[in-house]
Amino acid sequence: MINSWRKNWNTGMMGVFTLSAILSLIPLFAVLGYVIYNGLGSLNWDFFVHLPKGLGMPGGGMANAIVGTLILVALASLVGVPIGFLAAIYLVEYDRSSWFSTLTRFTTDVLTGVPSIIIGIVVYTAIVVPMKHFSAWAAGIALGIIMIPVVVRATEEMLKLVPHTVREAGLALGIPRWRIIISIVVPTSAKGIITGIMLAVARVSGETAPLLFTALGNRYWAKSLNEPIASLPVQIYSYAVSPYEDWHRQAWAGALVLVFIVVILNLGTRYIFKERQK
Amino acid sequence: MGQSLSVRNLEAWYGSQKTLTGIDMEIPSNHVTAIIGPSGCGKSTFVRCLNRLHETLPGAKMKGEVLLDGSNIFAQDQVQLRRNIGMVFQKANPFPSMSIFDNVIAGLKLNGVRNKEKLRQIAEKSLRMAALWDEVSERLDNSGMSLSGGQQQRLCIARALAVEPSVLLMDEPASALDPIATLHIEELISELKNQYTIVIVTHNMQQAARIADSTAFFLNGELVEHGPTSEMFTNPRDKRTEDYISGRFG
Repeated sequence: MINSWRKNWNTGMMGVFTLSAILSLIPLFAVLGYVIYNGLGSLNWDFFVHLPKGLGMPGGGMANAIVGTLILVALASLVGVPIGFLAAIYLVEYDRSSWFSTLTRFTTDVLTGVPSIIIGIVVYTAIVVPMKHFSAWAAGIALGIIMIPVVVRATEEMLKLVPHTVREAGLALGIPRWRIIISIVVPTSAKGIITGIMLAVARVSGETAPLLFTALGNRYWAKSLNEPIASLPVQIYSYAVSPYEDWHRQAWAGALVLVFIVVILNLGTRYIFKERQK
Repeated sequence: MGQSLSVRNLEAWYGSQKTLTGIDMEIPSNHVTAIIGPSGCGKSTFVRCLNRLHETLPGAKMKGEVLLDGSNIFAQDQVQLRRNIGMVFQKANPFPSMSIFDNVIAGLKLNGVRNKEKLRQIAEKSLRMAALWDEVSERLDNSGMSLSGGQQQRLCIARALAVEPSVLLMDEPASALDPIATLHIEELISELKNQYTIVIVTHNMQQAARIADSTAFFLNGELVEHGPTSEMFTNPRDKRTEDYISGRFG
């Protein structure tokens, strides 16, 4: 009796778990499927190579926004990755428990939870206003700041997974500590660190709110990083809320390209890294 | 050639907890010295003091003198010192991101030795000394983690030998291994003592009896007795040693 009750309970719970797993997949596939369905039809060669056309005119593309997003992500990584990565090394390898590292960890956690629009307005006040113009630099810094806590926490968790015995093996061989970190600890956890960094990249490449205050947007090519620059999220936003049918379709195409950029960056980094490890 | 160690009034702490009190001990060169004692008696701490690994832990302190061929190790640069006093740990700890070959030469390469031919020669020599060459010579580029537990431990021994230390500390090197792998390691130790001074921590009294020239018995952070192994096991001077080796406690 007990046995069959237990079996049914087991089957029932198993069903609940499976159902939850499936439910958690549905939004992902729904979003991806919807973007592909709507975006693919509007995607053409012009979209990649042409600038946007004038107000309400059909045709044109988002070449400047695609390049702009790539530039902004690169700038953001330039700011966020080194700072985040080195801070994590400090927290794990040099100072695990002082008041300073506790404060740093706490601050990073808080920063993770700060809405990105707030970071945008702070950069606006601190950089855009004194410089008297919107710029790619300001946007890169804003996105970089958003990246920092994600990179810190991901790198920290990965470094902590490296067993202490591995570090001691290095010490016991008479290898200086900095060398152990660069050549033993980091390579051991490199895969996880790269994944963490790519997550941060994915997160910022879709950020829109901070860009409204910093990069602003640009209907033409930005001639330098000191100018306002176009980006896919902002372009998608302004096209999606416009009254023009053709712009709506382009917004979908932009969304699809944005997703693709993130996926390609992700797979590309993994591939390059794998080749290097061989 | 091995170098001798003399330990004078060595004390060690973890935070406020004292784990070693007033250890005086002579460790002759080219000898195998076994450290035995129950868990928590400070035997691991003792060997970790000898290469100053103890003081790399947060809150750990040590005091006293350890003379390596007459010169105090606390006056030496600790990174340099550890190239001269190698160590093998209880659990094999090859570097996970490195190949077998890179593991062996890690201590040299990461200290700036670039000569490829020299590195290759040293790798082969060290692997041969660790009795691992024949098993891995065909797959030096495979990951060190691809080896079995016993092979990994011998890889760690080869890695320690590659930097050509004069003293080799072994902290229960065979405790995680099966009897055959243990036998490999024990044979190895007997050969290595021609060139190295060996200090081995072991839980296993039979092992100490098999391989050690002299044995030291630690209890509650004190050195109770230290003497030639045969004497220690047949005719211990201290009552506590006798109780321990006859299995009455520990």
